[in-house]
Parts: sequence; C-alpha cells; structure tokens
Amino acid sequence: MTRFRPLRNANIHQRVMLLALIPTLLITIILFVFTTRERLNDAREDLHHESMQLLDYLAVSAEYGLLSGNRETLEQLGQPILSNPAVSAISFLDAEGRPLVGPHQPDVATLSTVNGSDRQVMRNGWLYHRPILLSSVGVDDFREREGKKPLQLGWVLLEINNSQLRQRENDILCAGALSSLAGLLLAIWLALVIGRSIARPVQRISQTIDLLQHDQLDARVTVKDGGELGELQRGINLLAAQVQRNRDHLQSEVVKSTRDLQVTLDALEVQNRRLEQARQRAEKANHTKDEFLARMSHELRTPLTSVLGFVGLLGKTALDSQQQEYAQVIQRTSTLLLSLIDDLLDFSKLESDAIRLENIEFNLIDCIEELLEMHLPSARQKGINLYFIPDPALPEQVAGDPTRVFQVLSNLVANAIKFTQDGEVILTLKAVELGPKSRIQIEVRDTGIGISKEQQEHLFQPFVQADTSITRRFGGSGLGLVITRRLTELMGGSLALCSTPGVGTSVTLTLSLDVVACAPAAKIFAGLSVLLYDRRNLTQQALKQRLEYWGCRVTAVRTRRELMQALEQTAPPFQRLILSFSGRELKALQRSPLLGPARERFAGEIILLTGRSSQDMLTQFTPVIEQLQPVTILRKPSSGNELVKALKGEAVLHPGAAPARIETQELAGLNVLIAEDNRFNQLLISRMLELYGATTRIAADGAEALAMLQEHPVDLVLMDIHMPVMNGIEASRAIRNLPGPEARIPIISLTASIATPDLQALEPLNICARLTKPIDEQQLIQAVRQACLDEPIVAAHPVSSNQRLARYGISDTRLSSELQQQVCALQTAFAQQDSVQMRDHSHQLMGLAGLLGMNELDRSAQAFNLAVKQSDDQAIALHLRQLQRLVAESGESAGG
Amino acid sequence: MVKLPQPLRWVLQRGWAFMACLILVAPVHAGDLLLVPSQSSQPYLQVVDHLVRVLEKSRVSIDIIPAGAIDQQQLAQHQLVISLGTRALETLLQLNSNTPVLAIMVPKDSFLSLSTAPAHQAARDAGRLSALYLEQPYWRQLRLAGLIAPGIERVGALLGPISRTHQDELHAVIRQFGWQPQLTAMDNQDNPLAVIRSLVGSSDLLLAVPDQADFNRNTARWLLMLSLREQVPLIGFSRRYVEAGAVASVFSSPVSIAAEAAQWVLNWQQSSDHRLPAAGYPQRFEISLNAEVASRLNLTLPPLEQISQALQEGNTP
Repeated sequence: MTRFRPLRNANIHQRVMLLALIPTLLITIILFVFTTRERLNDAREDLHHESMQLLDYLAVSAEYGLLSGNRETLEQLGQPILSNPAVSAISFLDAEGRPLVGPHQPDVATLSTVNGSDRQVMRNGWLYHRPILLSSVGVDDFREREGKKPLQLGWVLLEINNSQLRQRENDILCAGALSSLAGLLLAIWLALVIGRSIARPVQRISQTIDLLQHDQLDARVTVKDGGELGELQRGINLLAAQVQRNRDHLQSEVVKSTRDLQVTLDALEVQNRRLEQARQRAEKANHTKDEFLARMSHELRTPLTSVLGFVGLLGKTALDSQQQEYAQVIQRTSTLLLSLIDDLLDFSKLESDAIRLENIEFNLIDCIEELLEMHLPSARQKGINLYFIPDPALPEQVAGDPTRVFQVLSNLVANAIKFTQDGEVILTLKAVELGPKSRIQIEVRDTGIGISKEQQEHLFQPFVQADTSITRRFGGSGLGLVITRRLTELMGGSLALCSTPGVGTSVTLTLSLDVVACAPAAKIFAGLSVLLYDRRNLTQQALKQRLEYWGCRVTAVRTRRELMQALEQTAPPFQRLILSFSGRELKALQRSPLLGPARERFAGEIILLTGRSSQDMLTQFTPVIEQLQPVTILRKPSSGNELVKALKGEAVLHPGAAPARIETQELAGLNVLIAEDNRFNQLLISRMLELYGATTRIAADGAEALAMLQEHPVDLVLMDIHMPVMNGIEASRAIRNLPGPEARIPIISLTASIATPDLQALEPLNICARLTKPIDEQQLIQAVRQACLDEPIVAAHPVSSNQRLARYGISDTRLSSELQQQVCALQTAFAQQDSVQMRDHSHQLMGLAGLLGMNELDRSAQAFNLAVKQSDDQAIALHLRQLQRLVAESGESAGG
Repeated sequence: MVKLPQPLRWVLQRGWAFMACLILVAPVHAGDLLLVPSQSSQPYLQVVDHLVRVLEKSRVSIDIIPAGAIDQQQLAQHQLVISLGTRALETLLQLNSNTPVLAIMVPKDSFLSLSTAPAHQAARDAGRLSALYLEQPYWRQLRLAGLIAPGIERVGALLGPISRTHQDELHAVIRQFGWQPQLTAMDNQDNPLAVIRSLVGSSDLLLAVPDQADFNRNTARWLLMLSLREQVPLIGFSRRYVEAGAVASVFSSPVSIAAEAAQWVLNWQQSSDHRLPAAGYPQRFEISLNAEVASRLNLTLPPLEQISQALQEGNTP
C-alpha cells in the first residue's frame, strides 16, 4: 500500500496534529453546514408558521367583518398585526375578489380556495393568502355524512417581507461561523497539547537513542509519562543499562584478553627470538653449504677446465694417431664430467630455490639459431638432420630469461640428438596465442628410440633414466630432464612429452612470454625470390619457412620437371636457386643430366645443400660441382647463420678457392706491452694479439708498465686507464716524459667508459687510438696495425655482441671464476671496511664487464664504486648484493 | 338463539368495517333479526351495542351486515330487518324484499320521501315497513321552552330548505302554545348574519329546527352567538346544541333509541300478525340543560327531574 506522501517526512508531532485536526475540521465543517442549514430552515419555517398562524387568526377574526361588510372592523383587525415589522401589508377581499381593505388586488384565480393557506413569492418576501370561510358549529348528534364545503366569505392576504428573515439568517451564519471558529481553535489547541504530550516523550526517547548510538551509553530517558510511552521509556533505559553493562563487561574481557595476549605475545617473542636464532643458524649452515657447493664446483671445474684446455692445446700439437685418439677420449670424458658437475650444481640450486629468473628482452629466433648452431656439430657427427621450422607470426622481441630458455631447449635438443641414431630432429616454433603475453610452443621432435609408457612415468624423477642401459649407452647424469622441467615450471611454462618406442619422441615446451613492442626489423631478405628444390617434404617445409621468415619469396618444387619449368617460365628470373639433395640423390645425380640444364637456365647464385662437407663434395663429387659452378656448398644440417651468409653470397666455400683462414700472422714480430690490472683481461688481450702473431708482455699497473718499458723495448703499449698504483693516464704521461726514444712509443688506451675528464686528460698525450671495452678483436687488430704499420684507423665503436672467449682459448668458466674471485674479494673488503680494496676490485669488475660487454654488471660495478667513494654503507651493501647476484647468474649461464 | 361470543361483542363495539368483513366470510345463518347500519360512527355503534345487549336477554338471534354489503338473499334469510340511518334504509328499500323493515335513526322527512313508492306505501300499510323518527316532535320542544322561559311571547325559528315545508305546522303548534310565531326561511346563499340578526331581534325565544346538516351547522353559530348577545334563549334539538351554547335541548340518545327499537322488535315478535306499528316520533327522550348559559341569560332553570317529569307527563301533543 502506498503511504500518503506528505506524511512520510512528517514528525510525530505533525502527524498527531494532522490526526487530531483533520477529523475535527471535517466535523466542524459538517456541523457548521448542518446546524446552520437547520437553523436557517427553522427561521424560515418559523416565519412561515407564524405567518400562517396570523393568517388563520385573521381569517377567523375577519368572518364577522366580512359578513357585516364592516371595513372599519377589518382595518382594526389588521392594525396590531401590522405593528410586526415582518408584516408589510394586510388585505381583505370579498367573495368576488374585490378588495375591501388593503393594497392588494390580486387575480382571484391565483388565490387558494380550499380551507388552507398558500403563499406566493414576491420580490422582497411572500404573499400569504387564505380563503375566509363561514364558520360552523356541529349540532347534530347523529351526523350521517360530511357536510358540503363551507361558504366562502372572501380572502385575507398577508404580505411578509424577508428583511427580518435576512437579518436573522445573517445572525445565524455569523453565530455559526464564530462558534465553528471557536470550536476549531479549541481543537487546534487541544491537538497541540495532545500532540506535544505524545511527541515530547518520543523526542526524548529519540534523543536518548541518538546519544546511545554515539556511544554515550550513560544517557537515559527522563521518565515523566505513564502508559505505553512510560513503559517504552523505562524499557529503553533498561536496554541502555543492559548494553552499558555488556559493554563494560566486554571491555573488561578485552582488557583481560589483551593482558593474556600480551603474555602470549611475550612468550611468542621469546620463541620467535629462539626461532630467529635457529633460522640464522640454519641460514648460516645453508650459506656454508652454498659456499661449500660453489667452492667445490669451482674446485672441481677449475682443474677440469684446465684439463680441457690443455687437451685442446695438446690436440694442436703434432701427435700421432694413437695420441690423437687418447687426447680425444680425455676431452670427451672431461666434457662429460664437466656437464655432470654443471647438472649437479644446477639441480642443487633448483632444489634450494636459489635460481632467480631474469626478465630481459631477447630475440627468441636468434636464441634458437644460436642453440642450433651449438648442436650442429654433434648432429652432423651422427649424420642426423636438424631442422628448424620458425613461425613467421612470432613476435620478434620477447621478455624473459634467455639463458634459461636456451638451457631448457639445449637440453631437449641435446637429448633428442643423443637418443636418435638415424633420421632427424625437428624444432618447431609456433605462436599459440598472440597478444601482450604470447603463448609460444616449441616442439622438439626426433625419430629416436622413443620411450615406453612405463618409462615415461619415471622420466622426470631425479637420477632416474628411462632405462639403466641408457646410462651405459648414452651416459648422462639423469638430471637433464628434471632440471629442464623444474626450470620450465619456474618460468611458468609446461612441458609435454609424447613418445612411441621405436618411432620417436616429441617434447613440447609451452611458455608464456611478454611481447616487447618494437618496430619490426626489416626482413633481411625482403622480397628475395628463391627457387627451392627439395624432394623431401619435411626438409622442404623447414627450409621454406625459414627462408620466408627472413622475408624471401620462396617457390618450392619437388620434381626435376617442376624445377625446369620454374626456371624456364618464371619471369623475372629467380634471384637464388637452392638445391637440396639427399645422399642417394647426390649419387644419382652423377649419372643424370639435371644439373647442367639447370645451370644453363639459371645464371644466378646456386646454393647446394648436401649431407656432405664441402671438402667431401670437392673431392668426391667434382663433376657435380663443376656442372654447377659458381656454387655455394652448405652442409646439412646448416645453421641459420651459414644459410644467411650463403644467401648474401659471403663466407662461403667456393670450390677452387683455398679454405678461408681467419687467423693470420699479420702482427708477427710486434712486441706489445699490455698494461692491465685484471688478470683475465690480461689473458684475453694477450690471446687476441698472439692469434695474429704478436708477442705480448703484461704489466699489472702503470708503474710496472713504466718499469718494464724501460727494461725491454716494445713496439706498442696497450694502456688500461683505470689501474691501481698508477693509472693509465699517469703512466702514459710518464712514458711521454721519458728521456729516451721510449717516449714516442705508440699507446692505445683501453677504457670501460668514455668519461669526459679522461678524454681531456688523454688529449695532450698523443694517444694513437682509444678503444672502449668490450674489446672487439677486429678493432684491436686494426688499431694495432694502424699504430705500428701506419694503416688508417677505423673509428672505434662499441660492439654489443658477446665475445667468443673460446676463440682465444679462454673458457666461460674461467671468466666466471674470475668474476667470482673479484666479488669474493669485494665481500672480504666490505667485511673489513677496506674502501681502497673495494674500489680496486670494483674497478677490476668494471674493467672485466666492459671488456666483455656485460652491461648490467658494468653498471652495477660503477654504482658500487660510486657508493664506495661516497662512503654510503647502505648503497655499498645493496650494490654488493646485486653484484653477487649478477656474477652468480653469469656463473650459472657459463655452467649451463 | 345463539349467544354472541365475547370477542364478537368486542369487535362490535369497535369497528364495523372489520365486523363486516368477518360476516361476509362467515357462513350465513338464518336468523331472527338483521341489523343494517349505515355507517360505523360512534352513535351507530352505541345503538347497535345497546340493541344487541337488550335483545340478547330475549334470546333473539341477531346478524349485523353493513348497508354496503347487504343483498337480497341475506335479507330473505331474516325475519326482521332494522335499518340504522337513512342510507341503510335507502339500500334496503331498493332491494325490494318482503322482509319487514324497521327504520331507526332516520328523520321523518327522509323516511317519508324514501317510502313514497306504492310498494313501500303498501308495505307501510301492511305493517312491514315502519320507522322510529330521529327528531323530536315540535310540541315537545315548545313544552320544554315553556318550562324554561315561562314569560315569553314571541317564538322565532329559522327554517331551512327542508323545514320550511313544515312552516305551517310549526306556526300552528306555536300558536297552540299561545305564542306569536316569528318564522324566517333562509337559503344557503343568504347572508346568515343579516337574517338571523333580524330574527333574533324580533323574538323572545328561539327554537332551533333541524334541517339539512350544512344548514344546521352554518346557522347554529350565528344563532347561538346572536341569541347570547341579544339575551334570547335558544332551545336546541340535540345534546351537542346544548354543549355549543343552547340553554336546553330535548332529544333521543342512542341508548333510548336502542331501547325503544328493542321494545318494538319484541312487540313485533310477540304479536301474532307480525305487523309493525305505524312510523312515529320516539317516546323515550332525554333533556339536556346548560346552566351557565341560563345564568348568563338570567334564567332560573327548574331542576332537570322536574322538567323531565313534566315532559313525560304531558307526552302527547
């Protein structure tokens, strides 16, 4: 039911007022109307009745006058009545209607003839009239019938004016209105009084409740009223008292509980302190364990790397075949041992959640290409095809941990190659979901021995291999897949394995990687038209998609006829022709006339892909090669890099030309002094120079360099700027200030950063070249040649790609151990608060990082150095931790 | 003869109309006497009541049928019919029955005028139709006048449309009493005031003569008023006349009418030839005096018993 709208917001006082006033007002109005009307009616009736009475009286009294025709009698009769102000005039008419007395002369026909009064309405009143009848007296005892109508003697007319009636009506209306008004006022006063008597207690209750709501629980209603309101007030007071009691009780309970809690907290604090101590002990123990592990791994790896290094060196010496074989065995077993140690190290880190993932931008394709390139030798060695099918829809740059992705995939590919005796390993890259976070699927499928269902169940358990015979046949720690899986899970990805024994295995890695928005790099071979001949579906598809990924327009043919047709009919002609042959085809080709006609129809660069090395091809398939001249020979499986180079027409093995030799002896005879404080850098630079035939000497600081220079004359000085004892600038200045011809020795400066003050300081010292770290081999060699052989200098520019330390016989492990040593020294210095040592080692770290293009490490080392200079202990601690982390990660990547 | 039950008597005393309905629906009994009243007004009821009461004692069976509901068969079933009032008589006469009819409460002139037909005349002659007149004879009124106002000389009377036919008779009777008659005839259209004023002025005593009811009513007031004003005694003809202001009246009351009629019935029953006596004035009468008016007229009235006795003694013209 809808409530009366205006009442909704009315307070109780107003409601009571309305409740009292509305009925009262209605009753007053009704009563006023009713009584006034009744009284007005009564007044009229009274007048009428009075007039009738007068008329009756006159009619009876006038009988004699009319009978006797005595007008005087009639006039006298009317005289006293005329004194009544309501009576205006009296007239008497005779039986014929002729006026005897009075002013009226009405039409007789309109007058009443029956024995009764009647009236006519006049302008200001009424005209009453009645016939005057002869009065009779009943004298018969036995009246049988009613007599005839009595004899009419005439009429009497009485004119009544309504002025008095009007006056009386006005009086009645006034009196009625006044009494109603008085009644209404009384009702309003009563409503006010009653309303207040109801509203006041309710307001008191309301105010008290308001106070109670505002937590003033001692508020009480003053009980002044009886009845229900009084009951309500008392009830509210009781309720408030109850609530107050409850609150007080609760408060006391809370105080008690708080006290109890405090006691418990104190106990807990004591326990926590104990726990903290226990935790610290545990952490210390863990730390000790980690340190032990790191130390042990280092201790294990260091001799092993040296074994490997020396075996490598041994391999380059003149050995007979038996010795060569022994050296290879040592190398293989050492490599296996190293990988086992790395696996164990990784596994222990994974187990203790010590691995932290990086989130940096990288190119997934490049990463995979690098990985494939790494595994190509082993694949080629086993005669297995290694295919890569990229997805053109894949985003170019993604964010994630490239080292770990590399590690996982490398593991999978290595496994695939390991367990495949014949056939191929296919790596398919597919973007499942594209968006800001893309889901990417990488499938590594092989045609290997496969794994049975039962074996699959134990596959991801540590130290368990599918078959104990596997260890015997294939080696390995049994940790590879476990590490792979753990790393995948750590990256939020998943690993799915599907295998059929005897048919092959497919492992699918699914990763969600953030897509990094970047301008799409121009496809390196955009629009290059390539004709691809390959009879095998899979290889054709892999090659085609790879080429298309680089932007080539590929036309793939499968038969010789199609090849000829494509060569003849296509215009404009293809820019490149790729011929991919299997071993059997290659043999068949010797007898078939395919290549000659193909060469006749195609004038451009032909790329020949076969399972043989170029050397084999040149020696065993000379006719084939001759038919195709000029041709670029690539061995299957080929790396992306090789293919790119072949498509570009560079770095390929052209038949007839001597195999390219990278190393030359162009710096032979040069004696170079390397002033570098970091031992690792000393080694690296010296190896680079030695590769080109130069002889090197090493000084650990500027002072030592100065001394050595004066003892043994050299052709060139490579001067690191930041060195302890005497820095590069001071040393250079000292050299220039030498009295002898040594003062004119060419100096090449090495800096991690091109700081303006350093440049300004170097300006007057006649420095031949300023090389920035990381050192680029080509730049270094060119700068040395320019300085000593007077060749023009190519502007030095930083190179961001990682140096390949292996080229200089320096292992990643060595770098990592060097970094580790520096960080340990920093730690020791920090513990001893030795700022000089800290600056020294941070400086060395900066040098190493700069030399090797480890930008993050470089930045961090710089920040540490700055913090040491500013003596900001907090920042020092922070950056030290950062350095430890970065070095540890670089160590992991080196291990992986 | 069946004795009337008490409830019936109660009804008889109270309403004719109701009674009539009862009788109409009741089976008709052959009875001795049939009462046919003209109307159910009080005097008629009184007369019927007295008649029934008196005749009950004589074991006469009585039926009562109002004049409006009577028919010939009902008449034929009774030995004697008494009509009460002029209308009842007129109805009975129109039915032309052989049943003997005694008319009571009927004025002499009305009876005579209704029974002028030869058959009725024959019936009167055969004693099957008779009447007991309502009014008193003039001589009885004049004797009363003499008793009340002994010293009068001129006796005036106002004659109406009916009574003027008796002008000579009245004239003669007044003369017999040795007084000078002052008789004035008046029409309904005449100014009564003027007529009566002259009559009163020329009379020592006024005699009210019964006439038509309207005439009686219209003239009575002025007769009474002017007689009082002029100190002329007025002798009325009914109890109501005395009550209205006449000094004395001689008249038949319902009781005396009923008693006399009952006597007639009994006589008729007991007679061998079942003949009704000839129509005539009532023998029984009452006298009513107005002492107040008499004192105003300075008259000394003899005691009522004395007057009554004197009238009874000379109950003949």
